[in-house]
Amino acid sequence: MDHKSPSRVELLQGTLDLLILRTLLPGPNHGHAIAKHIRRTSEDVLQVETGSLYPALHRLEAKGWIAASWELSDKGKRARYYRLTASGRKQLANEQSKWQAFSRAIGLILNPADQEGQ
Amino acid sequence: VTSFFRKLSWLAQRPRKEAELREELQLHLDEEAEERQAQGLAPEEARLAARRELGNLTLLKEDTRATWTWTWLEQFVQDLTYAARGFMRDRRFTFSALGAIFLAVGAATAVFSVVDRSLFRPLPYSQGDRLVSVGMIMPIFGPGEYMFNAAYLDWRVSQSAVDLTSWNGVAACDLGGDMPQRLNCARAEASFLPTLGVRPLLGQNFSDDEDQRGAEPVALLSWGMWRTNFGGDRSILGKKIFLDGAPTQIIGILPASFETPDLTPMDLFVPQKIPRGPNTRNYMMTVIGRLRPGQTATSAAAALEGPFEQFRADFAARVGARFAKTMWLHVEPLRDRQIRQYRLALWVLLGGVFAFVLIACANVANLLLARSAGRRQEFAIRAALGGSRLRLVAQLLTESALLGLAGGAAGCVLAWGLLRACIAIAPEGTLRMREATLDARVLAFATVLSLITALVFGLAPSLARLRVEMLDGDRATGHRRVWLRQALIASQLALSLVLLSGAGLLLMSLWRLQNTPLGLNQERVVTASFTLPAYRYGQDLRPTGWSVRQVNFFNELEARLNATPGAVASAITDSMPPGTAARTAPYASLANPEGKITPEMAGSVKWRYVSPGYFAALGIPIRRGRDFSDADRARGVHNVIVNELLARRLVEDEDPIGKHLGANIVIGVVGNVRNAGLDRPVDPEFYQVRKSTGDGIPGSGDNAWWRRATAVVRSNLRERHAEGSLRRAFRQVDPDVPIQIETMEAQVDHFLTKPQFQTTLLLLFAFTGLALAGIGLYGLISFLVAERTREIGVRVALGATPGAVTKLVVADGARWTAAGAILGIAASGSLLRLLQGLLYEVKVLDFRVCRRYRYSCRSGGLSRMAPGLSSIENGSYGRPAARLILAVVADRKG
Repeated sequence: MDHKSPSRVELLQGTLDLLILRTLLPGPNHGHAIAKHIRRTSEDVLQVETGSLYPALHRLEAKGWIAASWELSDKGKRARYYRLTASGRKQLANEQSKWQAFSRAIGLILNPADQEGQ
Repeated sequence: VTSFFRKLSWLAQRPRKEAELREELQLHLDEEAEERQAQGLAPEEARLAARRELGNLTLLKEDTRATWTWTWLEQFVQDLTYAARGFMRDRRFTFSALGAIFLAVGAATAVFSVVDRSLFRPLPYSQGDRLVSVGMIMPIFGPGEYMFNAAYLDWRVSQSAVDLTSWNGVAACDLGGDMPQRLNCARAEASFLPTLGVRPLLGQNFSDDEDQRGAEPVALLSWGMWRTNFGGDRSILGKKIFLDGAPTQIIGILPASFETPDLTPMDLFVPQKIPRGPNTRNYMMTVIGRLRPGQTATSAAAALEGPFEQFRADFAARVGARFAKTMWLHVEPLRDRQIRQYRLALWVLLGGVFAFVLIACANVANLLLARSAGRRQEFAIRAALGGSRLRLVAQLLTESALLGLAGGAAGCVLAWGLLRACIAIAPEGTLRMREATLDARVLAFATVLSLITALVFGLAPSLARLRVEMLDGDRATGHRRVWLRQALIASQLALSLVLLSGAGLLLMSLWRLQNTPLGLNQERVVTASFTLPAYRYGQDLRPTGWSVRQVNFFNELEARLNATPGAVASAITDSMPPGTAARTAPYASLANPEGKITPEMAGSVKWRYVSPGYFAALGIPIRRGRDFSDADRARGVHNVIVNELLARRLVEDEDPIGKHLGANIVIGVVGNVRNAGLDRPVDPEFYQVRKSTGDGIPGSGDNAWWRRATAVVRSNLRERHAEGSLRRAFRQVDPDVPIQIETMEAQVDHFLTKPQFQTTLLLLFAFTGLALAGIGLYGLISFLVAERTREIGVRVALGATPGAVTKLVVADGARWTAAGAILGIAASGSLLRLLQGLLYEVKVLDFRVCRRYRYSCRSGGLSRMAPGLSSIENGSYGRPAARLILAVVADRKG
């Protein structure tokens, strides 16, 4: 925690699942790559704790939204690759629209002038 | 749903998942380190940084694992294996606790399976609680209900509270054909089954038309009869059997659950065919009613009061006002009627087993208390390491439940064995005993009981301890919160005492019963009871009911019996003492043939129809006058012999010889013979001589009476040979008459089996209970000694002698033993009054019983303390204490 930069923010409860699912949309990936992707894409704002990443991956797997298989990584190492299942895709669509509605609502409240101007 | 199966399959692949997670995390670390290295850190530093980034590895793994399966299940399995390991390690505790639960659940389940049938389970009729027994009681005829045809026909239509139906009990009937058989036929009205709400399993009930005199005979088979005699063959419906000599069509099969309202076993169910027309007013039957909606037994009785009064007025006009005055209407729920004479015995049994279960539960509680005291440190450590209170309670819960269920399962096996044993030793006809099984209902009871034993009695005290001690772990000594355990021991002792004195009372009553003089000499007497089959001896009936064939049979049998090898004396009688139904006559009709009835003439007189030689055969002494001779059998002679009781009642202290008894003349007086069972006072009785011709045979309302008799032979042969020669005598007369041979001693024993059974059971509970209490006391004292090791050591170091230490320990135990004994005696005094109804010539506050057991408990209590003491000396339980004492003593010497 001590070496976190102030610009980073804590992940909101429940958003980690959504981020993982979204990350896997283009194609299968392993745990470390997923974490890295989230960090990079969010321009280092979102930091995924490893301590919650792996339980989350396994939880999503138990729910059947993602499936895992052992494959060779681009570096030639055996890695556990996660890929989106059909029901995961549906779940992603769901969560995404929910999130968008949510963030728009927050935006409306935080920037009333901005919205009025439009 | 798929998630459920995935978790289920993961449960099985546990080790693989574990390895995969390890590899996955390792890869993560490698990747991370590589990345850091790429950012310019030294390899070692990069590795450490990666590891730091990962955080708490154990927590991560735990969180991940939690997603694989159900956490609660995991913890449960953990608790379970831990509990099992603990029990295996602590064998002495486990065996004692399991043993107590085993005995408690076994005994209680066996007793419940018997008692439940009669006390709690719904009757096997639809809405059985709406059924009532309806009748009139006339004390002059005995305690049973009567119902006259005239009243029944009227009451059926003259009130609207209850729908009445009738039946006529179970009586013998004969199955003819290839294999003649004596069967039991229940005779009932067409409306009987519908009123009870019973539907035939196959076929149908008989119709009103088939229930008329003159209709073609039909019958329904009982389920048992259908299975055994007809192999459960469905095509039997519509076929004909020969029943009492008439071709009878089988029209239905009754369900297996069917039982007659008075619980008499029966094979066939046939129309009663109530007689109609003149002179049928006094035909008797038994009446059952179904309460209409909104009615209760009380309101039905009120509704019947009007018709009853009308009948009484009519009866007074026809028979006499004095008779009519003594009768009253009786309406009682059917279940209460069924168990009337057993209720007390059943509740006593239930109470006995309840006390026994409490004793066993106290033992379990005590054992668990001792165990939890020993585990204080363990729980403190678990709590300190972050074990939540919930988790600790769950552990205790799991342990108790495991203990309870294991003991309960073993207890069910014991119950099964006990039930077999009970059925084997139970007297014939004990209420529904033979039907008792361990079915789902009883097993559910056993499960609940074992859980209660273990959870309530085991967990509650442990929880109390947990609350106080969870947070401060290491108080090694000085815990004196043993009052709960001592109170448990005291109540165990008290309960055992109650059981013991109850069993003692029953035992004394049984002893009295067994040593009651019967008034006859039962040694070397063999009897053969039989009923001549109606299909062979029922033809050419005279209007009064007998047939020439019957008379010839009896005459020939009498001659053969006298000629049997080894026979000292022989006779034929219609009934036998001490129980089997003798005929009765109202005393009033005998004492005053003119019909003048006074209140002093209440009560009835028993009488038997015997051949000359009856008194010699049974060894009944003739006190006055003479025995019967063949001259008394002549036509027109009406000589009778009375027992002493009747003689006294008839003429006080005068000489009864030559006095009239009704139309008869008294020629002799014989000794009193027990004739109302063993546990009731002797009734007045007289004997009429069997006629050797058809003339002068007394009339009877029971049409099988003529054919039913018992042959009695006093023999100087051994039992087996005497039975053989008796059997031969019958074979020579008619080989097709089925007979039942029994010694007189066996017949008398039948009357003892019921009290013997009750006494055995209660004694068993009492002694096992006392043993449990003893074991509990032993354990408690050992525990106390172990707890006070340091204190005792200090005392000895300060100069206390071993004798003083012993006194200290004994005084503690003695206080609670005494408290238990006093409580037990007080409770016995008040509770055992309830037993009075089961006792014969024993008063409940019999000083001897109390004194005897007070003495035995005192000496028993002390002797039970002895092992606790010896443990100090030779160190079996209190090994540390003994060692300490020895060490201290050695110190002082040195």
